[in-house]
Amino acid sequence: MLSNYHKQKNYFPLFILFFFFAQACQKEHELSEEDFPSKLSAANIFSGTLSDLAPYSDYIPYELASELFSDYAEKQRLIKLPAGTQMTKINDVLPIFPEGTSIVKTFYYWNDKRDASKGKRILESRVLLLKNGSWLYGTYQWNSDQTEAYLLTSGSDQLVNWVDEDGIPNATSYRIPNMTECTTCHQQSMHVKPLGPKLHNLHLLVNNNGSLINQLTYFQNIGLMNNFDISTISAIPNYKDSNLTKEQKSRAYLDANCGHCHNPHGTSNDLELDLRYHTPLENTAILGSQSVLIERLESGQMPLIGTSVLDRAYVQQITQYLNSL
Amino acid sequence: MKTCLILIVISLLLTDAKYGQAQGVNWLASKWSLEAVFSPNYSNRILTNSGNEQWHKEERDGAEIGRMGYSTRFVLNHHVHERWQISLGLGYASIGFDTKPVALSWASTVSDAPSELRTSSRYSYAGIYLLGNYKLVQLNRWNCYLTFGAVMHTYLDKNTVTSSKINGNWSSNSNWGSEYDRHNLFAILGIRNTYQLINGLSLVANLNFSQAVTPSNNQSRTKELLNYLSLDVGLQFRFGRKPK
Repeated sequence: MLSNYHKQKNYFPLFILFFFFAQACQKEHELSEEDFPSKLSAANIFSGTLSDLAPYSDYIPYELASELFSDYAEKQRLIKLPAGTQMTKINDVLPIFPEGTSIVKTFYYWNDKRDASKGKRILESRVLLLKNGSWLYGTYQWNSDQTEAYLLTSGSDQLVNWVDEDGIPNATSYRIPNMTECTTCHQQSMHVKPLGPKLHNLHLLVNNNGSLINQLTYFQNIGLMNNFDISTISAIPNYKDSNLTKEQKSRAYLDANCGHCHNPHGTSNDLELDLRYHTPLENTAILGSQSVLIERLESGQMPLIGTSVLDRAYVQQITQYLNSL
Repeated sequence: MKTCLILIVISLLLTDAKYGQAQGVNWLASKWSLEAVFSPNYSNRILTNSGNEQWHKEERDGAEIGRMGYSTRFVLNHHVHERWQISLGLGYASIGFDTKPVALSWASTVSDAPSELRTSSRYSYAGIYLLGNYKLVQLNRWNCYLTFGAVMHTYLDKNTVTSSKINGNWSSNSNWGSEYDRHNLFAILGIRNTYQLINGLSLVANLNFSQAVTPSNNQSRTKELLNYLSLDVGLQFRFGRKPK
């Protein structure tokens, strides 16, 4: 009788209940008004006319040696540390950021890259805030009048057009990521982290009041970074530097565009690919995977998100490099 | 290859059905039938909103329109009663939405500049169907049913196609995207029609409306609930059984 009773049990309603329970457990990405006001103008990042992107003095602009390709968008990067605090070097990658650090990245296109006077179209500003040891993140979408940007958790596709430096017209659908898309790249070892400001990617010469200075030295001079010998950092080169070898350019590009996921701690660590610049070639698993890498890059399947057009010049260059191995 | 397989299966089914007639035996229907349908569909989405993103919902509602897609499925029907059928099956659906074409303005005079731009968001799903059919009308060979049920769709991929109009011609490039709510439950309501061609073989034509009851982006404040209207066209093969 007991076995018959079990045979007659119908688990389907239980399955349905479990499904809805699991769905209910997936909470919305919650951001407090205090940390992420619904309007960017209330976040006290930019002074004066918002679209001038003129930051308050406590936000320090910074640059990266090798940048992530984002459909040819221009980027302004800012960092703010709480007064009296500084970043601390632990190795060549991310420093220890003090509690309350805020990192802001704004994406825009020049209407005509040959002539800045023709204006720009700002699309989004992404904000990372270190609070209670965790990075909180929010994205602001700019309105078409360029007078305000609004907090957005849901992602958006924005149609953009611009004339590039060669006078060629371009148009695409630019993707502002939703909150879950953000974690695709920013989640490392189960924690959200910034991707760009790694010490080996901040190790470059920047223009400061008309003179060139190493950016890390500049950070140390203004108290943003603790003192250490910057020559101990193995810099990543700028893949746009024409003096580099084909290998250096390609490895630097792969690091900036793929290495944050394809490394032993990244989202795609199960694939055993390690595309970080300083990983010796024989340990990257590139050898033997060239055809797959080329196919993924040329088809636009990789990077998985963040691009809608191919970075043709560099994809071609990497293809040549991979074919030469 | 696929076409060959489909032709072979149809030939076998027809042969089996005709064999029953040729033998001159009284053909008796079993309680089981197999069905394959192909469905052109028109899909769109409903946006719901919480928090402060009403502006985003309004922006998208003003910009997005439905699009044509398709789905296909194989189901096993159990004819539990003269009026009742229960169906369990597997299927594939390509659904999504488009944006209205937007006219582009240019800061400089350039040749071969796109004049319009539009996008198409396409989601691919594999689904498990559980349907109930209640017979409303029977008229000679024609049966009409009310269909209701659910499909558990599992997300396969998302593709955003951007099309630009240059010198009057549209050209497209496609871009992979991703969503993270892997499973979406859809409710289905529709009208099902079968027309018996020969013993055991019927033509099927259904008009179904499928509405997602769980969003494709649960963590966002603006939730996207996809839906689609589909016209299923296919064949049903009802197994025969020997008279006692």
